[in-house]
Amino acid sequence: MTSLEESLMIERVINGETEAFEALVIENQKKVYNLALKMVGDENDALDLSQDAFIKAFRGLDNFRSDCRFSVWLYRLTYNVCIDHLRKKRRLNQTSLTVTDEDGQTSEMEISDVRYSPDQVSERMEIRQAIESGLHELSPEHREIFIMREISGMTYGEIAQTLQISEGTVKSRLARARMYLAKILSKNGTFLDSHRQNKGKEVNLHDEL
Amino acid sequence: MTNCDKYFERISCLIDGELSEEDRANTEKHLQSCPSCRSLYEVFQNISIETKDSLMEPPEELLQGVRYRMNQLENNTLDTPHVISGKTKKKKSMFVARYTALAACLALILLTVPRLGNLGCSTSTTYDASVSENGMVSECSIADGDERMTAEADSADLLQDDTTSVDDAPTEYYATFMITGALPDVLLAYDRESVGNGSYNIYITIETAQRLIEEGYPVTMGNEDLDQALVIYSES
Repeated sequence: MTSLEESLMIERVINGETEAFEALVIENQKKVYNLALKMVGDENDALDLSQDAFIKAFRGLDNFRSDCRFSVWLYRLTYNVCIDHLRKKRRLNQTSLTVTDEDGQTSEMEISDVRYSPDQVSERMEIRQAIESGLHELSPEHREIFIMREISGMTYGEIAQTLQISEGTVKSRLARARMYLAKILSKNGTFLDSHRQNKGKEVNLHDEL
Repeated sequence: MTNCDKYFERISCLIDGELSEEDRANTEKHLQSCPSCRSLYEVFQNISIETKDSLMEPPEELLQGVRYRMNQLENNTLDTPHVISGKTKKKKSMFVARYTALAACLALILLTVPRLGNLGCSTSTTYDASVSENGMVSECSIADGDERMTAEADSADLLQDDTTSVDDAPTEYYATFMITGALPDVLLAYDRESVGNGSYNIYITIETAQRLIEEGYPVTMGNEDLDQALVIYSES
């Protein structure tokens, strides 16, 4: 969807054609869902939060200022919805389930946040899981900028506008995010360059960081 | 700084197609002659490819759920979206009517209530207030034997007594709100400036400020000539 098509669709929704909002959902749902999934790590929560984000966008559409793309505005809205969810979850401490044993005694079972648990994984799945884990070892600002670029597909200009930083800062911060992630992967035994067949031989990455 | 240092950021920018033609050519030329930089480029590129390939298709329930909730919104007259034209205008006129009615009621109370209790007057006070035609109370005088207290009040000030007041409300904003707990939907898309201790400043437009007023959030009005309002938000 081009910027013009997007603007026309938004205009139609604001003028009462609520069914036009569906086109905006279809256009953006993959990015919104994956952003939520990366932030909260649970598919069910990501589904609920994605729906929340779209409904809040629908309700707040007359607040959307067309000085940025709708997808960028939606990114910020989704991000805030996820952050609020994580804060509430932190206040509730841990996710738990009530279980009842044979004698009818109930107890709380703590469950871990298991993202992936396939029985058999291919090498690509291993790499993807390694990247997923590596992302969570990054600092919040490096993780956020990486997600904005690789998941939400935002340009450097859009990232700069959203984070209220210069494009120069975007470039250096994103490069560092990639570098840190590469080092984490290398340290954990995941090699992503043409030397990956020689596991154990660490890639000669520059150490200016 | 080595010659390769200047290519570190450029390699990242090359992955994203964010280099000028000249820089792209220089960087690609350097990669041909530097194995370390070429290795770095491969790693960055593969991270990007694998991350993008790992994006999951959203479940069908996402779109279905949004459709369902939008239908609920449209059928629920108490919770209609503001985007529907006509209803926004209706809400604005309701806002004006609501406060005009309240001002009129307060003026009536001032005329009939013998004293204003919170001015600390004794039981033997007398009350004299003049009310102008538009319902504004210009001055009320309370005489209590040896003391004469005067209080100047108008309906706007009396309204503010019912709201959460902000000490020394900043006049550099159209209005100031203090919100605790759940953040209103209309503010979710705004950036928040952390001021510490779980508190944030959110700078909003007049339109959003009026929405918050319509939704009943306590407000302290500031300078109506300004085009920005402030929300002081606290999580708890």
